[in-house]
Amino acid sequence: MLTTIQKDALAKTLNAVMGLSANLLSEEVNRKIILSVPFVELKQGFEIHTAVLDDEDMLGAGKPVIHMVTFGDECSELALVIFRQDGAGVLANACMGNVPDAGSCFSNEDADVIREICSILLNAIAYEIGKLAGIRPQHAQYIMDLKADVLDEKKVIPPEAQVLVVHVSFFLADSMAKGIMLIVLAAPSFEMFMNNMMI
Amino acid sequence: MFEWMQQALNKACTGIVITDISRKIVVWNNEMERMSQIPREKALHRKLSEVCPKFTDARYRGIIESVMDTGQSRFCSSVLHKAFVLPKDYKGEDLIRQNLRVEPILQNGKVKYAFLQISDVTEQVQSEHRLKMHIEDLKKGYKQIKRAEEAAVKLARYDELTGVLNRRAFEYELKTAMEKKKTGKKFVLLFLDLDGFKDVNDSLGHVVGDVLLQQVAGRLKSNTRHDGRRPSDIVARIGGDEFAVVLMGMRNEKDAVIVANKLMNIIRKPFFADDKKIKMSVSMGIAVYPDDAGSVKELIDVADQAMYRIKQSGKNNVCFYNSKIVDSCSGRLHAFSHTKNAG
Repeated sequence: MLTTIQKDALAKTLNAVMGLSANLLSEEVNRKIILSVPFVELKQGFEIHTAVLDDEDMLGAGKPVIHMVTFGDECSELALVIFRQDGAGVLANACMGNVPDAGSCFSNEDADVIREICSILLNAIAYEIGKLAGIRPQHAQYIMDLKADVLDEKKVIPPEAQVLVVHVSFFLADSMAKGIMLIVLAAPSFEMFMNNMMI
Repeated sequence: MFEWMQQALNKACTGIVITDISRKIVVWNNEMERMSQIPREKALHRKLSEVCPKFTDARYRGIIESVMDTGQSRFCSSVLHKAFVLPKDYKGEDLIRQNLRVEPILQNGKVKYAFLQISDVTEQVQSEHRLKMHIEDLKKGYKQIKRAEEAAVKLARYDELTGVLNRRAFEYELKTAMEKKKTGKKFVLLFLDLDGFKDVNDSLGHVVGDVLLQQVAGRLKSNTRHDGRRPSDIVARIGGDEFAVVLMGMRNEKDAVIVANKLMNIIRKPFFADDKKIKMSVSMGIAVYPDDAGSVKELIDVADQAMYRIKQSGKNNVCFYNSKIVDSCSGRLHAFSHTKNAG
């Protein structure tokens, strides 16, 4: 359980991390993107299930779109970005400068744009969080197009890991898309992250 | 490198380039030869930016440097970057689409090489575009069909000149109203025939006559109930210069008289068409359902009889159908089974 002070510090830290990531993303796609973190939860690995995808108000409809980066010495730290196709389609089209057409399908082009956005975003998150958690950014691996059951497979998200469940909103032009980030840290890394964050 | 490893890389369907820490090419597979039209021996040991001009761009040099420095992978989509390797002297850059994936290769825990995979997705992108165009065409076609359907429905239901219900739709609405009406509830049919319309048509022409009919219909619609919250009144053109109005929800005959007189006065106000001022009047017969008749045909017949009575007795007036009118008109009953002539 986090104290109120810790929660505040966490929210500030994550907003700062998201701000840096958004700047990087904006430069790369040549469009102004704003990321906001309306809500953060701390869970343990065994509490993470595919049920996190069920909040339609949060994520919208459509198949899940999940990308992941592993980092840390034994790739034991993870960061995942989760969308549903609705939200991913809105974000992809906004990056391409298109007005999303209601009822349009999530195309291969949309999927490619989201893959690129997520690679930039997850690299930035892994780097910034890694700095605070005392983790070298080496050995990071970007894994695309994961299936939803990765959230249930305890091999990927260790049951004893600390997981920051970060609800994120992406603002771009007149569009808004919602997603969820999972930042998975082993206990020692999490402790260092919290200590460094409070300094 | 092991020969078998080289063979495996050459069998890949993706362009594979491996560069060392000084950005020189150490692997250039068969697919890269095909995409760039640059043979392996001309690519190896040269800087990537010399062989692939796209990588002279600071943005792409920065991506490879970042991978080498941080050990992080990067994906670049064809949507945002178009292509990375073009055939020698190729001019149609806009036609080729490639995705790029850059990953670090480590030796002894340190990033020593950048591993680039370039996938040609041109066919896939073009297929998708063709599919999107096809979907757009289908959507347009569907919209056209819907518009034509709506126009056909409108034509079948509404009088083309005046925009009010035509006779067929009117009879249908009347029948529906009869079926819906609860016991004890009444409604009233006003049967209107314009006085002297034939003379107007003959003297001023059909164009003016048409405008006049449109304006009469407009006045009838504006002065009857169509607010959507209660059963709406019905306005229809049922023949040359004949109109019908059904007043729903009449509590008694006095209500009908009030509305009837209002409509009479509205029609008596001058009309203006083709810079001419035209004064008209109307003969109106009124029948009450279910008091005067129990079916659509009967109700129309008796309202017509009442109207005819007014025509016979000086026009420009209104009267209710009742048994006395039927008796006195028994020799002159007019069957409402065909469109009457104007006037």
